Amino acid sequence: MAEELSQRNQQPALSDVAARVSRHTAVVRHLRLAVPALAVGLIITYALSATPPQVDREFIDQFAAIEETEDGVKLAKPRYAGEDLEGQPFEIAANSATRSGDNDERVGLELPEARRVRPDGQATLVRARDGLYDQTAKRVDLSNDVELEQQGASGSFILRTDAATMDIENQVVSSETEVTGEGKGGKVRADRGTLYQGEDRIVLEGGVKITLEPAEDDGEEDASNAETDGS
Amino acid sequence: QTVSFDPNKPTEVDGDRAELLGGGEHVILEGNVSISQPGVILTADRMDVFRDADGDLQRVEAAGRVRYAAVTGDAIAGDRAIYFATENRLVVQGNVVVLQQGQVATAEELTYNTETGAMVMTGGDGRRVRGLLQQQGES
Repeated sequence: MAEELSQRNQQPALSDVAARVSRHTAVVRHLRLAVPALAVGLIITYALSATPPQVDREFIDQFAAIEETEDGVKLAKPRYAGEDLEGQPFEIAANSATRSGDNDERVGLELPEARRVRPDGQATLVRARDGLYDQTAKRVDLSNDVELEQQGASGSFILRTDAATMDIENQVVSSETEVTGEGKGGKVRADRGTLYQGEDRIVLEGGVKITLEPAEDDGEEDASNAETDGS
Repeated sequence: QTVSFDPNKPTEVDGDRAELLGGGEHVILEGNVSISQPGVILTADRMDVFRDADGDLQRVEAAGRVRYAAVTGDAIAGDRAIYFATENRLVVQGNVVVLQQGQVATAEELTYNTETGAMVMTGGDGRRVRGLLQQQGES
């Protein structure tokens, strides 16, 4: 028995270098399996977490509406939401937006409408048949059936004109043509008008004519008073 | 015959420039301003027109060359005026001159009932009301 042990001991011991080489080979063998597995794991993790399906579908749908036309890129139902200099949110939407091929900075808008909710919760809207958005100047030139609607507790007041310019940052809309308007309290007309959306203020200039019309019920009230007096 | 502002009737307001605040409940007018209804007119350099939420005329504050005239022949001039629509009352202040049925009077302040034509005039500090009254039949 002792002889066998001694014979095994007498097999030549691996030299140190050979031992290190064999250990290295084992490590490499393990890494060759571990690294690919790790990579696959990472890819799966990224795929699951980085792309929430709901955002992607909406994002993809937006691109579906983009169409390459001869005169540029056309986007259907675009919507732009931003904040003015006072941090008040506003929104500009349109039926379609066409970026002209020769000038990237200008976007043609069809049926644009700008909407802004004032601190009192009432909305101010500006709409037109056509608009031209200048990205550099942050300005929209509106034309054809331009309407400025100011909603208020006692109803809406609407100003109409043919052409106007909207300064998006300062939220000021100024007309270049005659303005006419009407609301619950009466009618107005002037050579030109400016709407300061942030201050709920309208300035009319040039031949201003305002017709103040009393509320309808006043007339009825008088009539009923007259009846009761008579009976 | 009396003629007066009737807040329940349409009122025409004219001027060179107008500023509509609060959805039109407060209107500031400047330059050749006039507010009128058939048979009666008030003019001034500047007016502030106040209406209630229903759009009914409540008060008009006029300043600068204020003139009031009615087809009855009443005419009033002054520096400032306030018209209280619901009370049919016009108060004119500062260098007031009144012309009514051929008689002229001056005062510091005048309160005029736009419905009946009744007037109350005061001389103001240390000044007197002065008038030029015509005898009946004189013209």
